[in-house]
This record gives sequence, C-alpha cells and structure tokens, in this order.
Amino acid sequence: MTHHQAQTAIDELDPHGFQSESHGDHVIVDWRVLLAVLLALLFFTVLTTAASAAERWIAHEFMVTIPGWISVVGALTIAVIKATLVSMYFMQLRYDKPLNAIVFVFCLVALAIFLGFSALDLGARDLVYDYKGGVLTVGGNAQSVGQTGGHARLGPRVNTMNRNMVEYARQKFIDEHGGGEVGLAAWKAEMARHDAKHGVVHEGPVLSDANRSIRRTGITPHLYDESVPADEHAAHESNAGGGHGDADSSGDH
Amino acid sequence: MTTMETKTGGKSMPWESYHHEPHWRSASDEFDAAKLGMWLFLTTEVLLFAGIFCAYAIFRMLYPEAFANGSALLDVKFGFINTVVLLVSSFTVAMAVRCAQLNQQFWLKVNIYITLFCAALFVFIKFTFEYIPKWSEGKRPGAFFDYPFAHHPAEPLWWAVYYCGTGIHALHVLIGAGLLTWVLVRAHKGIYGPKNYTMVETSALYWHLVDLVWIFLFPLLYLIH
Amino acid sequence: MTAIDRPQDVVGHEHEEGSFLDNRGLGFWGTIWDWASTVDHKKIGLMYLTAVLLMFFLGGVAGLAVRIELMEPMRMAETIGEDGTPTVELQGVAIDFGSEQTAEDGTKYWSFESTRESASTTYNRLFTIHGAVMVFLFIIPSIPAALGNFLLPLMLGAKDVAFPKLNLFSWYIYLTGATIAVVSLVLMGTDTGWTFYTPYSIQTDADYYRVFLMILAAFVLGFSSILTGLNFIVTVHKLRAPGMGWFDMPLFVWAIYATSIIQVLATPVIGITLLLLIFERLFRVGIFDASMGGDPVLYQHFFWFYSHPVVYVMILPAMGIISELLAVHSRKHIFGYRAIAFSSLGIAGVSFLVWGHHMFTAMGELASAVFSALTFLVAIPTAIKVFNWIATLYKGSIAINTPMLYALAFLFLFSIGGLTGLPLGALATDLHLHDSYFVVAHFHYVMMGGTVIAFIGGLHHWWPKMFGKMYNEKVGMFACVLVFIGFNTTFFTQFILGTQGMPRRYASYVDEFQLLHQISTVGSWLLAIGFLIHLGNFLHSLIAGPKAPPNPWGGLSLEWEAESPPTAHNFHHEPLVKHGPYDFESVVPPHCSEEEFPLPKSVS
Repeated sequence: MTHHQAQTAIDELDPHGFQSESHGDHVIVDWRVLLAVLLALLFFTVLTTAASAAERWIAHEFMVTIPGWISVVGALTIAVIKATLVSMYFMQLRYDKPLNAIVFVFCLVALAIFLGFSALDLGARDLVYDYKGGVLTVGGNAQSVGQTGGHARLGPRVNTMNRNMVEYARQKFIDEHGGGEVGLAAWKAEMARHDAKHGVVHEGPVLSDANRSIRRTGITPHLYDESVPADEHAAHESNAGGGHGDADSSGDH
Repeated sequence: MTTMETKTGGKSMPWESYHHEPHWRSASDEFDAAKLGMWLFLTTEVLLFAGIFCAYAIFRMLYPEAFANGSALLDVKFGFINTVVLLVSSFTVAMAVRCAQLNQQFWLKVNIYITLFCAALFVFIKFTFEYIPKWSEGKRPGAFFDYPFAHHPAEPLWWAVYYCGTGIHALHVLIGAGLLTWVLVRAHKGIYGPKNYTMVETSALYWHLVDLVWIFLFPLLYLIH
Repeated sequence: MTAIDRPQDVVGHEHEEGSFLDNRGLGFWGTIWDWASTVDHKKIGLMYLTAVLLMFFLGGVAGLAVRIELMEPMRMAETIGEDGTPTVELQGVAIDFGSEQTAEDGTKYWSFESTRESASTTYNRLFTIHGAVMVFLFIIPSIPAALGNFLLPLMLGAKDVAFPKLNLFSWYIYLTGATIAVVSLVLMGTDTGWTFYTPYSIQTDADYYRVFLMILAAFVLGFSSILTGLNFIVTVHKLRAPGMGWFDMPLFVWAIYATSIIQVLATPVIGITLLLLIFERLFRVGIFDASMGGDPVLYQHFFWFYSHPVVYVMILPAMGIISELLAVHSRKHIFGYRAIAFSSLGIAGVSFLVWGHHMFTAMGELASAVFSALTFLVAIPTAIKVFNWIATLYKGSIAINTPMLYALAFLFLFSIGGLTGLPLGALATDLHLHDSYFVVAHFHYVMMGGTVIAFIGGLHHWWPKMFGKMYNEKVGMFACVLVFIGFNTTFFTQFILGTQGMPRRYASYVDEFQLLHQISTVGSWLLAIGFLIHLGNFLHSLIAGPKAPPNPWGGLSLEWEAESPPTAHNFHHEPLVKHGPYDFESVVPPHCSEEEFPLPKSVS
C-alpha cells in the first residue's frame, strides 16, 4: 500500500473533482480468499465433469437419453459461475474500480449480439422459403476449387471423386484393406469395434442421412450438387415457398 | 542499476526508486491506466474468441449429430487434467501479484515459476495426448480429414472448430507464458515490488483470460454432446 | 484560459523548449532516427498523415483508372469462321475459352492462358486496389490515427497519449501491414474486392499467394487499429487536464472516443475472421466452404460484424471535425453539446446491431426483417447531429474560408449520403437497388462526401497548428469548390445509373449507360484536379507560407492554447480548464485580442 504517495497538490487544482476517482486503493487480496476460490473452481470442474460422466452412464445403463439442452444449460451455468469467480477474485474485478468491470460487460454484450444475430439468421434461414435451407450435400469433392492446380495451398489436394471427406476416408480404408467386399468387411469389423469403444450405437445406415440436421447447402441450392438433374432441380424450386407460384419464386432469385 | 545505497545504509531494490513516466501526474494514474488498457485488450481477446464460439454455436445448431459424434471422440480425462492445470496456474499467478504487492520477492518468483511450469504442462498434454494422436489417426479438419470411422459427413467441420479453437487458445497460452517469462526475468532483477507491480498485474490479467477462455472451451468441446 | 504552475511542471521545464519540428542540430540520419524512434504523439500523427495521404493518392489513381476503363463499354463480337468454329472477340481481342488440362496428380482442371491478363482482370484488380487501399489504408486510419494522434492529447491538455510506446508500435504495425498490402495489391494483383467474400476469395488465384498476403495485411492492420483505439480510450479517461470534466471535452474528442470504442469491440472479430479465412484458403478447413458443410454467408456475418461498425469508425471522427469547424468558424456555442456527444455514443452502440443489411439477399427473411428494422435506428442519432449543426450556424457570424466551405459541403453531401441509405435499408427497395451503382454512389457520398471532405476541411483547420504555416485561403476555397462540383458530377450520375440497373463491379455495361458513365468519369477528373490543387497549396505553404499565429481562428479548445507548432511537451505549463471549448460568447480566445474576435455586446 506504500505506493500511494500524497497527491494533494492535484486536488486543489481540480475544481470538478473528477480526479478523485483515481485515488482508490489497490486491494491486496488475502491468500485464503484466493485459495478458497481455487478450491471452489476445482469443485465445479469436478462437478461438471462428473455430471457429464453420469449422463453417459445413464445413457449406457438405463438407455435413457437426457435431453441435450439439459447438459448444455447445466455445463454452461457451471462455466459461467467459474468464469465469474475467476474474474471477480483472481482478476480482482470485485475490488477494482467499476470502470474495468463496465468495459468487460460491454465486451460481453458485443459477444451476445454477435452470437445472437448470427444464429438468428442461420437458425431461421428456411423459415419462409424452404429452398434457402437447401439440401444437405455436405462435402464436395474437396478439390482445390477453381480452374487451376491450386499450388498456393498448403493443404492436401486430393481428388475425392465427388465424395465427401467422410466417404472418401472410408473408401480409402476399404481400398487399403483389400478393396471390394474384402475391404468392406474389414471396415465393418473395425467400425463395430470402434463404435463399441466410443459407446456409439447405430442402427440402420452407417452413414447418417442426417435427418435430424437442418437441411442445407449454403445460399445457392444445388450449387455443389452436380448429380441432381436439371428437371429435378426445377421441380424442387417450384415446390419451395408454400403457396407461391413458379414465377414468384424464380423471380426472387 | 540493480542496487543502490539508501539513507539508512541498507541496500535498496530497484523498485523502490521507481518513478512514473513524465506524462503522468502520478504513479497511481499510471497504474490505473495500464490496468484499464489491459482490460480493453482483454476485451479484444474475448471478441477474437467470439468468432470461434460463434462458429461452434452455428455448426452445432446445424449439425448436432456431427458435433455429438466428434465430441465423443475426445478424451474427457485430458480435458479435465488440463482444466485443473490452468486453474492452478491462475491461482499461482494471482498469488504472484499478491507477493509483489507485499514485497515477498522469493515467493513472487516461485509463483511465476509454478505458473510457467503449468503452462508448459498444458501445452505438453495438449500436444502429446491430444493433437498428435488425433492427427495421426486422421481426425483432422476439412480437407485433411482421413478418419474412416466417422458417421456424419460434417465431422471434418467439427474437427475444424476443434483445432481452430484449441489451437488459437494454445497460441494464447504460449503468448501468456512469454509475457510471464519476461516478468520473471525482470523479477529476478528486483524490478517489481510494492511501488511497481504494474507489469505483474497486467500479465496476470492476461493469464487469467487464457484461463477464462478455457473454462468455456472445456465444457463446450468435451462435455456437451 | 489560465495556466497554473504545478510542482512537476516547474521541474520539468527548466529550459525553454522549441517547436516539436525542430531537429535540434541532428544531422540527416540523426533526424531520420529521431522520427523513427519518436514516441511523441505529434510526430507519430504526422507520419500517419504522410502515409495516409500517400495511400489516398494511390487509391485515387486506381479509382481514376477504374473510371477511365468505364468510359466505354466492352464490345463483344462473335464471328463464325468458314469451318463453323465461332470466335468471340472482346474489344478486338479474341477470347480464349481455355482448355482442359490434367495436373500431376491426375486431376482435371480448366486452364486459361491468354485471357488471364485481359482488360476485365485488370479492372477487377484496379477496383480491389481502390477499395482495399481506400478502406484499410486510408479512411480507417485517416482521421483517428493522423489527426486524432496529433490533436487528442492537445485537446485534452495532456503531454502525450496514455501509452506513447504502444502508439509508436501501432504505427509500425500499420507500416508493416501497408507494405504487405501494397505489395500484394499493386505488384501481385489481388482481385477479390476489399471484402474478400467467400467462396471467391478461397478459390481465385489458387496458384498464387497474393490473396493470402492481402488477407494477412488486413489482419495486421487490424492490430494497429485496435491498439490506437485502446490508447485513445485510456487517454480520454485518464489524461484530461485538471478542470476538464467529461462535458468540457471538445466534441472531436467525444467522436474519437466513440470511434475508439468501436475499434476495440469490432476489430478483433475481423481478426478471427481473416485468420479463419487464411486457414480456409491455405488449408481448406471448411468453416466458410459450402462443399465442406460450412457456410459462405457465415463469413459475411463475421466480416460485417466488423465492417459495418467500421463504417462508423470512418464517419464518426468526421462528424467530430464538423462539430469543431462549424462552431469555431461561425463563432457560436455549439447547439446541443450533450445531444451531439451522446449521439456519437448512440451511433457507436447502434452500429453493432445493423450489420445484416449488407446481406439482405443472402439471409433468411426473419433476420432480414429484424436487421432492416434496426437499420432505421441509425437515422436517429445521425439526424440529431445534422439538426444541431444547422442550428449552430443559425445567427452565427459565419466566416467564409476553406474549413467552413468544407463543413458546409459536408452537411450537403452527407445528408444526401445518409438519406439514400434509407431505401437501401428497406427490404423491398433494396431488392432492386442492391449491388447496383446506387449503393456505390450512396457509400461514396457518405465515405467521400462525408469523411474525406471533413478530413480535408479539418486538415485546413489544423494545418497552421501542425506546421506553423498558413495556407493560401483563396486557392483553398477555389479547390474546395472544384472538389464539390467534381464530386457531385462523379457520383450523382451513379445514383441515376444505379436506379436504372447498372450493377457494381462490372467492367462493361450496355450502351444505354454510356453517357452517364462518361459524365461520371469527367467528374472524377475535376475531383482529381481539385485535390492536386490542395496538394500544391499545402506544399507551397510548407515552403513559403506565412508564419501562422498560435490561434488563427480564435478557437477555444486547448490545442489553440499551445504554440504553432506546439512545443515538444505541448504546453509550457499544464493547462487548467476554466471554460468550455465553445464559450465563444463569453471568453476571449487565447493568444487573441478582443478586437480580433469581439464578444457579443450583451455579454460583458
């Protein structure tokens, strides 16, 4: 606390008194408080990890799937509590001038706006016109898109023959393990082992048809979907948009 | 520079003769300003990570199974250990600030050493037990993807978010460790003490932010399915 | 205004100081090193000013080249040869439609050989140079980094900004970013436009690193912007002179403060955006790539979350300059001080809520409607400012000089720019107008008619303070009129072109648009001549201009308290503020007599 020297000379020259705010003492936080905060943080870490483990155990043992939103809300609530503890005590916002806390709050508001409005668009893009949601064709041919060799890329330049990356990787495995039926059998055995290890139980088609996902391609329907014949394309377009006629929906885009 | 005689005849530390920069009215103003500046910088760091969090939220919303499958492939054990490591380091760096304020020079250095050790441990665990095994198994982002046992076609996207998020976070761990190393070198020269601990405190703030980001990354990536 | 000796001032000023521009007997290299290593905010401000004006010149030349290309539409001719093969000629040059090639790894790709350097490619590169240089290298740093650095500490009565070394550091970051940008734009030729929209930016020029370099440059420049903004916020909070409360600050400072908040809160998002775009381009991680399940429009969200607020980074400081210019040159207390100050903060706040209006045609209907409604909020604080400025002029004793002419030009042009934003913000009309020349004209009226006009006006206003030399008033006023005429000729025609359907970023057009395009191009020449006259006027002033008094305009804010040019530590003694910056009715300006600037009779 010794580093606050007398600065009375300024005060008498400070008719507005706005300088007085900068004279607040800097609190030296008690080590017991810091230790208690650390223990609380560790406790919450154990709690949230245990909750996640419990969720898996329940799913495995009782075949009861706890809805995703519960774990999201629970884990994020604990994260917020932990973050509050860190910022309040370790970062000393509790003892600090309010200005620093206000700065941080503004930052969080900006963050909320950013996440909120982006999600507002992406989450409700096909609310009115279905075609804006598109059809799920995740994974193009993973080429260096464009009309050249793409030499200015540090990443791989593989030709996936119009498969998505997941299918391509699977096919590669099958080919490396004898190809054809032999490779497929090897892959199926390995896949079953893998699923058991990670507790993933899948019935029906192994590659998810993603019915639960929001169907989409991006802004332009079928842009990357070369296998869709032209007439099918048009048929889809005319169905989109509920009661709107063909002229209406084609005129929009 | 390192020591000088005081009136009482004892040797004095460099921090005792600290004088604020000439454009400030007082050392107190200078300290407040440095801290405000650091908080503003932390704001920018949070908003930098906002991009990652936004990408996570959007793609989780669009491809929930892909993210659930991808998350199941992470090892909660290492995420948990790393969380503990970072929390402990956050505690020691907070203690380091306290030691500087109280002129406990030895413990100041010890606390920073522990913090740096934790930083190294974090990065070590991250690379040895997470990045390197996962990458070699083909669990890679985007066009690098080469993992034959994925279920959902958007899983490369999950790995993109995972690697970008944790990678940029790991980069911040390294930057924070660099800052703290600099503080440590200067602490060895006796530059920090009750009259001058601005750098210790602002570096500590930066380190806490690295911790804060991880507090959110851990449940989002490892725990939520 | 009174100055009171305070203990540390007496200690700090044992010797009389010269102007900050004196090189104090340093040799040539000594002077260079002195400037390169300076932490003096004034020298850093002047270095920024030089760089920014250089970039304005570069961007301007590219803009003129774009306009010249548009003098004539490109005419295509198709001829069928005797063997039945068609040949297409563009401006008399046969087009090569390319051929399929096979890469080393067996991949088939389409290759163009001869058309890579065609006129339209050059055009794309030119408008990218124009856009990127003007936005990233000129407008964003123009007023905050150049004028702001010079003026902010002076207006606050401080010796320097809060973190002088950080200030120098951000100048060097700017220099690094600018160098990378100019290399990638001019020497290598990026053609993405300044917005780097995906998927084009991750596909184009896949064999070259130039797009990557330009993205990297924008990323680096962002740090410079962040650090400058951070520095200014802390300076405003912690370094106001004794006696200066928040509402005793000049409105320019309020504007810079609001600008800095935007810079600090928005710029990091472009940092992560460009970083992810770099990953996308180099490694194809897929976040913005629809073929991988990513979303190109997500890139636009990320991009405009920064780039829309940054539009207010460009215009807010200009509004601050106008507040100063109108009050000082009409010798009247600014009307509605608090309304203008808070509307600056209001614009900063609203700026974060409206970015979606750049993507109306790409977004879902719900988000579009919400963003459209929010967009109209911008009009409120903006209109408050304009009304207050006009009310300030009312019954003032208006001096007709270059700064005042520019302030008036600003009011006229900015109002047109602002009002034409409304049809673009409304969903229904935007469907017709988006991506047309109407948009181009709109943002040029705001960015150029607003920011550049205010910047040049402010430059004239503070030129005597910066260099201690007066410029030639008549030449300045003549050039101002020329710029005004040239500007309207160039850009008003583009409103008409836009409503008639001329799309932006096209190298060619249908013949019906040719006359308007020609008028616009001729206008751009007038504009260029106007700016060159200003340049000559400034250079003449530097070499042979009469010495400027400390307070030529009778201003009351603290920078006029200092010498012209200011001493190295700005003030001989730390000033004590006893009146507001606009109390023209009751205070005789510093360094001035009452005969020069008589007070109103009613006030004794």
